Amino acid sequence: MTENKPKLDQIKVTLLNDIMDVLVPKIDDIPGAGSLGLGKDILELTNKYERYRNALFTFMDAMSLDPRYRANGGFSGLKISQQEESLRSLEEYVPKTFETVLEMVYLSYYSNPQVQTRIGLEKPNPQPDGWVFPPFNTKILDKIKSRKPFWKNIESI
Amino acid sequence: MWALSKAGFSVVCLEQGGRIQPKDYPVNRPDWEQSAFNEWNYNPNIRKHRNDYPINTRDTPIKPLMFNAVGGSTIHWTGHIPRFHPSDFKVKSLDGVADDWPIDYSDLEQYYDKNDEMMGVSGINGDPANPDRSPRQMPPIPLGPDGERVAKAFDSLGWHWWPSDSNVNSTEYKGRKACNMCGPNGYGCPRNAKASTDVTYVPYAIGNGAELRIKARVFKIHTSSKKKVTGASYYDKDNVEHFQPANAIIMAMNGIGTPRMLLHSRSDSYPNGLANSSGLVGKNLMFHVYAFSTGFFEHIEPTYKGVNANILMSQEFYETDNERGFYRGYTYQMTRSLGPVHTAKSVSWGNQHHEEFDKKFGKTLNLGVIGDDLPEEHNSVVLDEKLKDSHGIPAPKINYTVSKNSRKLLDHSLKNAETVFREAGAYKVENLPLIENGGWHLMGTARMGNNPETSVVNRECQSHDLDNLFIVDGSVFVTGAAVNPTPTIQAIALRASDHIINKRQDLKS
Repeated sequence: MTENKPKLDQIKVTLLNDIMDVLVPKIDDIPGAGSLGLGKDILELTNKYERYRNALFTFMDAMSLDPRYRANGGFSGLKISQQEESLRSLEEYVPKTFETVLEMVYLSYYSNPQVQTRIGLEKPNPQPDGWVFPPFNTKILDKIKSRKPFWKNIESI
Repeated sequence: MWALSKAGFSVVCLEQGGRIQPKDYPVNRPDWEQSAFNEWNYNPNIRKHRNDYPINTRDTPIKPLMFNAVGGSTIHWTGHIPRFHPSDFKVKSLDGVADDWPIDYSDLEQYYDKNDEMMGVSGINGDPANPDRSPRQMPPIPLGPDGERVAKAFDSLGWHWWPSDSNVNSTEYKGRKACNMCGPNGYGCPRNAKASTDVTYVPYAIGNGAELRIKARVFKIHTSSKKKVTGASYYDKDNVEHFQPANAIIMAMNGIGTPRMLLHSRSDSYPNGLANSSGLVGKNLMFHVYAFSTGFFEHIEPTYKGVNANILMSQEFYETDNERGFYRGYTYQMTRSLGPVHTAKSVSWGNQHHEEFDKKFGKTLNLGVIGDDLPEEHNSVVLDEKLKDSHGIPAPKINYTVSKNSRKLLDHSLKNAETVFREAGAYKVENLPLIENGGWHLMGTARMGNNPETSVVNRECQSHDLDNLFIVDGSVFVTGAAVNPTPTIQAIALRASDHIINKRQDLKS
């Protein structure tokens, strides 16, 4: 955690939401990651982790320099194929930064209960319940146990 | 620490990390994946705890992983404890490559057994790929329907497999609960079902009277003019400097931390660093080369249920076979899938994201390949000239390349992994040729041997140069085998302890 955290202005927040909708688009009745209102979750992550904050600001600065974005009335003015192309250029240009931003988007998106229901995630917390498994069935060893030992004996060396 | 304190030694353990309480492990929380990528990341360069030190990894395709806390990397491990094969100690004699160890399997066997008793092993005897061993303390961890599916595929191919020996409890053991199969067992176990050393050896050592000082960062080992070490300087949690005198020092700082400290402790008497008359401190770094094969299945119980790793293994391709075109071999270890964010990170973003995610999440199984990584002198740990930790101590820099032998080995393994998954019913197989964040095992940088010119410590883990300096971590490995190193490190440490106990009068003089 650090103090004096920089903030995104409203224009960049809107841009971020548009980008998130491209990265994780609408499925069934669930809107894309940006329209789902996860922008605030992303900002919380940047407040908590410096590496996320650095990645997001680098990412947003680089995005705003993209000539396609500047010439067409903003990212939202581009066709979806152009939006993807713009993001793929960025991914190539700053791969680690892009990967880190994507990680943030996924962390926010897959924490959403509506999304977790869609993917069939039964329990978000591994503990304390765990899962019930039947005990080990030794019958499964019948075939392999019939094989003679084949490890290399080195006593003669 | 445990063995020596039990024998009546006065033991002070200087631990760089702090003590973590099981309630603080991330798997207790729904945001556990967030922690896994950040404060619980295996990679210290991402985690950046105050107790960590940075590592310059610019010149290595494999990033080293470690954890600094009471229990060390056993907090993070999955508890997989295969033993070295007898052949692993005689690689030079058998295959004409690398070197033989000055000890062999029979020297370590009783210590493997003793360690098993302390840690608690779930498993079963009778594995035809390994020498028979003492009775396991608990039955094997359940394979589950997915594990049985993979086991049957190996059977159909006539290839070896066996349930993994595991330091995860299948039943209650020594007051620690049985595993409840929650899944991601690499991020600490709140039930203490996984045998990390903070809940196995350390409490007994403290009960014996050993003193554990946490958040104590050692920065120099001191010597006298009589080929002896005299003590260590360290910073405490408040950054206050201390000197701890000692009749003997035992280093267990891992295969990167140990050479770093030996090199950093150089003096006028030891200008190339301590214990380094051979010039081999920091050389011959071995990681194990890891690859990963993923099989996709249509009708399968969600594969994020059950222990993530440590289910079954195959050693069909463990030994050298000249027809394969590479020396030594590899072990397969089956793993399951993890949470949704881990899955999402491995598929496309954009309009293909949901389709690819839905095919993968909870519907894939993996065969991790752990390949023997033969020692090469140019693979090394050196002190970085610029990068430093928070106390100004030079960081280690890693120089490492994947050898042609390793690449051939991994390619062979991935081809066969695909065969296994097809036999198990997978409709698709994806391969990851090399795991970048796969430097779990840090070995070889202060190797043992009989000849002081070609090794750093002798067969008892005692420095050739300094009589009362011992090293008991993966640094002393001569070769790395194709198995996880922890039980072998522990067995070597127990064996070294016996030597120290037997020679205690020498240490006092």
